[in-house]
Amino acid sequence: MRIQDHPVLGPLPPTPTVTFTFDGVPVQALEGECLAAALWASGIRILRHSFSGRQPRGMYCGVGHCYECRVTVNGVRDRRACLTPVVAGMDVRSQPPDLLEEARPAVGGPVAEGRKPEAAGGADGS
Amino acid sequence: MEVDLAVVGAGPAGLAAAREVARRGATVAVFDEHPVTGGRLRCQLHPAGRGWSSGRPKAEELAEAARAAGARLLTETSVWGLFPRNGRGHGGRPGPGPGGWVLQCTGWHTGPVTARTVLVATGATEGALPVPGWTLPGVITAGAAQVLANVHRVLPGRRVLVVGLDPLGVAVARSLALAGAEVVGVAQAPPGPASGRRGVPARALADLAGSVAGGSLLPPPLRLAARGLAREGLAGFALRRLPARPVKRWGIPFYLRQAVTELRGTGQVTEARLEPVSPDGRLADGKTLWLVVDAVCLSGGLHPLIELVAAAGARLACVPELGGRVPVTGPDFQTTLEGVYVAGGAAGVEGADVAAAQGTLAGLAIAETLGRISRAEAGGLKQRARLAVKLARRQAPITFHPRIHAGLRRLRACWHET
Ligand SMILES: Cc1cc2nc3c(=O)[nH]c(=O)nc-3n(C[C@H](O)[C@H](O)[C@H](O)COP(=O)(O)OP(=O)(O)OC[C@H]3O[C@@H](n4cnc5c(N)ncnc54)[C@H](O)[C@@H]3O)c2cc1C
Ligand code: FES
Repeated sequence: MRIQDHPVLGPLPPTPTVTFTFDGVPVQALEGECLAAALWASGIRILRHSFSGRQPRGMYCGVGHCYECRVTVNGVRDRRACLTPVVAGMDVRSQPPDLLEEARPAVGGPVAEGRKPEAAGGADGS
Repeated sequence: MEVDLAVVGAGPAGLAAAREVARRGATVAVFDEHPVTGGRLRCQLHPAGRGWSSGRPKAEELAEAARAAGARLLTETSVWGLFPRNGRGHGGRPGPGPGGWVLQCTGWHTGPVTARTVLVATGATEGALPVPGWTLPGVITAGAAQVLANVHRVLPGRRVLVVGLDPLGVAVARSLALAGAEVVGVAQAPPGPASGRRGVPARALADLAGSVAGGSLLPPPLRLAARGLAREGLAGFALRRLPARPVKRWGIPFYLRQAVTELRGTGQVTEARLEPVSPDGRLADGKTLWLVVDAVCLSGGLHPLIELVAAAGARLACVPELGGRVPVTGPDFQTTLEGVYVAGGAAGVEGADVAAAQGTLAGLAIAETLGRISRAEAGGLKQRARLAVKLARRQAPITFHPRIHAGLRRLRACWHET
């Protein structure tokens, strides 16, 4: 859903495209734009799942304030998709709750097997 | 890194200040966590006069001027802490730092930055407007819709609902319609304490009518009565007279008598429930509507982003007319912390031209503190800069809170008490 022709801002300036992957699937982006915009333009809105309840989450504030858009970029967790510019070949992954489960148990859920109880910290619902 | 002035935020306020200080020979570094400079000004597109005004060229001009003056602009760098250089404040009592300040950064530039003076120009942030279903993907803030459509040229949705009757909500609804989206409505915020004043339709309407551009943002037949509507009682009276169906303007239906009470969808938002609401913000009898949507923009109001300077120990005051809690500032935008200044949205939520003019004034005051201009010279320059702030305020195409002058007077009174 690119705005090709804008009555005030004019036609979309020609910009080279680059490709990155989101959960292994190739996605096209305009050079220099942020991950959140590129994914939204490609119809991908679910960026991760919440830790408790495993509800889908996506971009919310678009400017780095809310941390709802965090994704794993080239293996580094919790990058804000709305502030991270796309680079060709980037490996972007949504954050499954399982990633966090290694560190903390799900709220109200059973403590993972084999885990020492003292390792169980508080969990937020975000 | 060691500098004379560290600026946090490369929006209009920070860039204007950086320009003023750098052109007088001081070393200036500007930090911003975004990949590009310009702050919110870059994504602004709002009705001004008969046409539209785009912030992007102005943002680029300001950045170029700061760069040309010799300021370093460091993007993709978040500043997470501000500490007095002499060591106090680290877990101890915060206080003015005669030895300057240390900024802690992360991102492209990592590590401490030592600065003789600091300008916090972090801008404003959006308030939350919680409603069941608001965590669904596809539900974004009004500001996020601005960024998507006006910066990234991505349409937030084909059928978009805007929630929250306020200047930003109306401006965003209009800019999305302009960009080609079908704006299926602008509806009142959900009733309840979490929505604040905008959860009470009579107050929301009065605030909208009372903001400078509010009159022009009102749909007819309310527009003619804009002045009177700025009073809550009359706004409530007008709302009661309106028919239950939405009022249409610019092709957009304004649900002035309906509030959004639920958002639904699987994986992303697809439906919004609108229920009749009384002018004083209670659910009323009447028909419930379901609107089919693929994006929802929540406009929860703008508040100064002040964590950095608040955590450093600056005195704050609650001034709702400026958007909530703001640092107590003097006539030069100095805070109660020696050598720390704030300007722009962080000092009180106003439009971009006001922010830039405030940045210029703060920059002159900082140049004076650094000994880059004499007291006598600074006096005249600051006087002129103060007039420019007033002029920008008078000519602002959009304001976000009514009664701004009353708020400014109260803030000044707080300063004189300190
Ligand atoms: C959603 C929204 C919509 C708005 N729409 C309009 C509009 O249509 N018209 C209008 O006139 N005004 C609008 N405003 C008001 C806006 O605040 C001013 O127009 C103006 O942009 C304020 O300038 P500023 O320089 O103070 O801050 P901003 O332009 O907001 O710039 C602040 C900068 O600081 C950076 N920053 C913040 N914290 C940190 C940190 N800790 N570390 C590093 N960088 C940081 C941010 O990334 C940002 O780039 C809007 C504000 C918001 C929040
Ligand atoms: S969407 Fe809010 S931080 Fe990225």
